[in-house]
Amino acid sequence: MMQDQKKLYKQIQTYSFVLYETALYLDTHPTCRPALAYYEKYRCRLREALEAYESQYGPMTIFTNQNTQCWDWVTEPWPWEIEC
Amino acid sequence: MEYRNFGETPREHLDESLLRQILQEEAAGTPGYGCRQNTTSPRTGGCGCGAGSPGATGTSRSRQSGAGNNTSTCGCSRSHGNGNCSGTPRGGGCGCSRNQAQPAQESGCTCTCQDTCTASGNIPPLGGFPLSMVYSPHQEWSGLYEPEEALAQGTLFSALTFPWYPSACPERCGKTCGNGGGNT
Repeated sequence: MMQDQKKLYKQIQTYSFVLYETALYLDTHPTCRPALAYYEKYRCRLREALEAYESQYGPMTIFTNQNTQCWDWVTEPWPWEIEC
Repeated sequence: MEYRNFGETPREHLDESLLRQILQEEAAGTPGYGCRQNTTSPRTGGCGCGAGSPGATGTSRSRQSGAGNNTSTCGCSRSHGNGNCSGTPRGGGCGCSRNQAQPAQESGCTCTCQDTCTASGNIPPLGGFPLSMVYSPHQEWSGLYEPEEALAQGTLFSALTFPWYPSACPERCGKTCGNGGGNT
């Protein structure tokens, strides 16, 4: 895995994690504005990172396979084949 | 204390002063609390099972331990099995703090179990409360880690960082228990 790909992959991991954490917090604090703002901030960052990754390295999920000529999902490395 | 006479969920009754009182009693180790079985059936022979003669136990459980009637006098329904602590609660493997390497042969007991209390008798004085009623402070949106650090710590919230490290099993089961941390 190239260095840039690793970096994007790690960003996606990181942003996903803090979003999960924030979501758990919001489950019990649904009107907490700072938490909602934090969630929105990293939701946008995750979306950007996902778009950047998938445009260069293929889909992260089966729902984002955009190649109409090839099923990239199965031709890209599997998670256990990715060195971190 | 009055709170122990509540016959229903104590939610309506539990205010800060009462909770403080409960915790103070617990911290002080108020005698008479903890092992309820001890009040009706003192342990004998060190087996932690209540009695050495048939029918002298204070437990309401069916007596299933041992291989025959003569061995069912300790009133326990659990046994150590082959020494593994699988499926048993903390505190020695079957509810008592006895070292599992010391099988109980004294006083006619064939098991080292104690039904309702630990050998230390150190159960908090919350006898009138339902089981598994947990009270916790409301979490606050503060003390956040930076995202990279949050991923490394296993939590976004610094207040929830409780690292655990693998160590020898406190039940002496011989296995390595615990994990590397993470919570939420």
